[in-house]
Amino acid sequence: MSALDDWRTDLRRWLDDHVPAWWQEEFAATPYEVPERRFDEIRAWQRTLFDAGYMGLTLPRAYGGQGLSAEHELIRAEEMVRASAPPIANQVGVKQCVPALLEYGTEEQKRRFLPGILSADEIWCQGYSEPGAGSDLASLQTRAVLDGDDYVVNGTKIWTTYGTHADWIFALVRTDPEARKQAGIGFLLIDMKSPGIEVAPIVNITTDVDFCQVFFEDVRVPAAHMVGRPTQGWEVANHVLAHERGANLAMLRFGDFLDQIAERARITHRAGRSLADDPSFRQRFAQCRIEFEVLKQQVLQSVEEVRTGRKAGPASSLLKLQMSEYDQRLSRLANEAQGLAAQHWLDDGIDRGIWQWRELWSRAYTIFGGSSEIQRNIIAERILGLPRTGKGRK
Amino acid sequence: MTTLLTDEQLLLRDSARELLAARHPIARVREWTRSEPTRRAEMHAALWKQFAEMGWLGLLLPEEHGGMALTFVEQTIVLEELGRGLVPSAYLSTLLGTALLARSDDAGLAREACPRVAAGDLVLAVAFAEVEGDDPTTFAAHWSEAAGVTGTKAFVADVPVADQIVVAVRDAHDDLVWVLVDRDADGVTVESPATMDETRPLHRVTFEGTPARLVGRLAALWPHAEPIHWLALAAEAVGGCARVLESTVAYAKERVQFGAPIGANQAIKHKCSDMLVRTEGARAITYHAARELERHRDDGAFACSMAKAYATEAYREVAAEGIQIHGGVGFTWEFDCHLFYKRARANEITAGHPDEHRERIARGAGL
Repeated sequence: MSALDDWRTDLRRWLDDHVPAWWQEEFAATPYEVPERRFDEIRAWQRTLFDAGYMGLTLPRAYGGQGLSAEHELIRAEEMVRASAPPIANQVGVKQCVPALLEYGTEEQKRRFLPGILSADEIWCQGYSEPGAGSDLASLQTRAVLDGDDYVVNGTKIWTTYGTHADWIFALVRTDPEARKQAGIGFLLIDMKSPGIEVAPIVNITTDVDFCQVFFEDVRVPAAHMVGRPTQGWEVANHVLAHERGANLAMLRFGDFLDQIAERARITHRAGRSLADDPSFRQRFAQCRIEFEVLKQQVLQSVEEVRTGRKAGPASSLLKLQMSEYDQRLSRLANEAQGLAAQHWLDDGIDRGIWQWRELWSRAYTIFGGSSEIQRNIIAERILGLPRTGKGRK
Repeated sequence: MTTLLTDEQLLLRDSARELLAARHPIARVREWTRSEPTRRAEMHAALWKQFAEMGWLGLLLPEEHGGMALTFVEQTIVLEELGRGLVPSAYLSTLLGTALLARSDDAGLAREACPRVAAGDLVLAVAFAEVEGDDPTTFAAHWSEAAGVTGTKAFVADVPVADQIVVAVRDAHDDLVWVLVDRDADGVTVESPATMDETRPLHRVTFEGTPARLVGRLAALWPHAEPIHWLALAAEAVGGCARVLESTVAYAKERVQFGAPIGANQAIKHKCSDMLVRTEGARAITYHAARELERHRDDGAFACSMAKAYATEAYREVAAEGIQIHGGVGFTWEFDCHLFYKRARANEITAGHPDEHRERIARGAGL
């Protein structure tokens, strides 16, 4: 057995002992989303992972990481899927802030912030969108004006996931109002406890308070918390987005979900027969099964590309687009398999209403992180080389 | 397991693409469709000789049969390129026929046929469907040792250039079996009704007491050969999708309306993006199927069935969008869009409509 195999065996044993029972029972069908009402438990789970040495595998030890290889990272992802383990609480921090700091942060910033992100001691949220800057993100208006050693920040951010839980926010702020719109933006780290910050929760369609609007009024932020140059923020954000849209191995669990859907379809009856015997349901089920394989093969391919050192690029948009739309079809199929019972909600529903919750949640997948329409533009422009649209529009 | 192509495999793909683009561009495909049967046969013979020289005719065959002993991945690469160029040839038919003969109970058949296939000396056609369709329970053509084959098979490709035809018939016990007949044997009549896809004409073959040699039981041989047919059609579809996408994107960049290339419009961009999604998805599932078939020679059918359903449906959608984005000229005979659409439609309904495959997938997935 190689050292990698040993490492896998240890991890598998560890997960068998540590994956929380309440998670298995209630949320086994939610591979990515952290249910907001369970946030504190999920935060504790990440801390457990961190203490056991299973966070930040490829990061240097000086930053709270483990100094291991990309192979370890892949094994971890596979084993987490195999064990149906909960996701981590600080997803935004780990998936977005970590790559930004690693590529653009100063040594001091890395030492200060990376360990807290990995341990979930400091929860992070993302401050990109604004009420007037959604898909057209570069038109953002939140201002950061240098005053001595501080930036003074004014403006508002919206759709801030974990905004009520977050200790820190990484925000895109306008540092140079005279520059072309993408060129005058900085990537600034802001303490959510700073005076002048107000957080207003937004209830979403699942009834969860998952995201917020954050208001900044004369908030003073040390200039040392700027990541990269004050006008490099757009570049940093794009670097991060390419990471965020990459492969998510959690989708491998969809195979189990399809088995569960088949099982449910055998129980549900309509028009004098089991749904499992309904030819049109069988067609749609099979199409979902095929599309799962189509996606899985592309995810495995992207993992292989990362392992062989190819950078995540616009091709990640292809995965994001397909995955988000597939998730909607899959959860709709799962609810269809329940028949009339699909109308029940959460605790009164089958499997605690997890599929109803997921079906509603999945509507967000095609909107956040660049909507499906934006992904199709990116694919057309950056992969197929079609002319840019909307340039020069004010 | 690696999901990416190796350097050798990429080299095979590039050399195949170069050879076919240089020697057999679409202009030559069109010339072939306009030619008389004798000229077609000459053109095919020249092409076949090149295939033999490249080793493509024995990619899967063992070295002792003159083959290259390569895998279904390499086989898929070549089929993808042939599909990309809409190259009219008996390649797919011969591949399928060889798969049947290679598994024959009559061990002599494989020993005789395989080296000749690899050397380019034996072209095969496969006669499965009948006029009523491809449901074997309805097949009427019959055979016995004493009386030979009698009946009509339909939708048979490549008959004019084939040396031998592998035919699905009923034996004296009413069991379905495969038999082998010589194309020039007594009692063989070939009709060639017009087909929409002119790059792959289909023929109707009537046998009247035609002598034949038993290959084996359909139930024993077909489960091994049929998935190869599915994989091959999916591979052609991948090549066709890629080609249509390239030419459509190129056209969207150059065609100017309202003072700008039409490709600057989101309505066009989003269609092109979806075409890429479908093409890459078709490619991913098809190469997965090739690897599955390679790993489990007897049990890769499930993946091949998924690939057939997904890729041929994708091909039809991509080819249709290709016509749409080309606008008026996409509807003309002169532009190539229609050639791909027609092949896509043929591939979609041949060897099991996607609905049939989905039913198989549903069953296989436990529903």
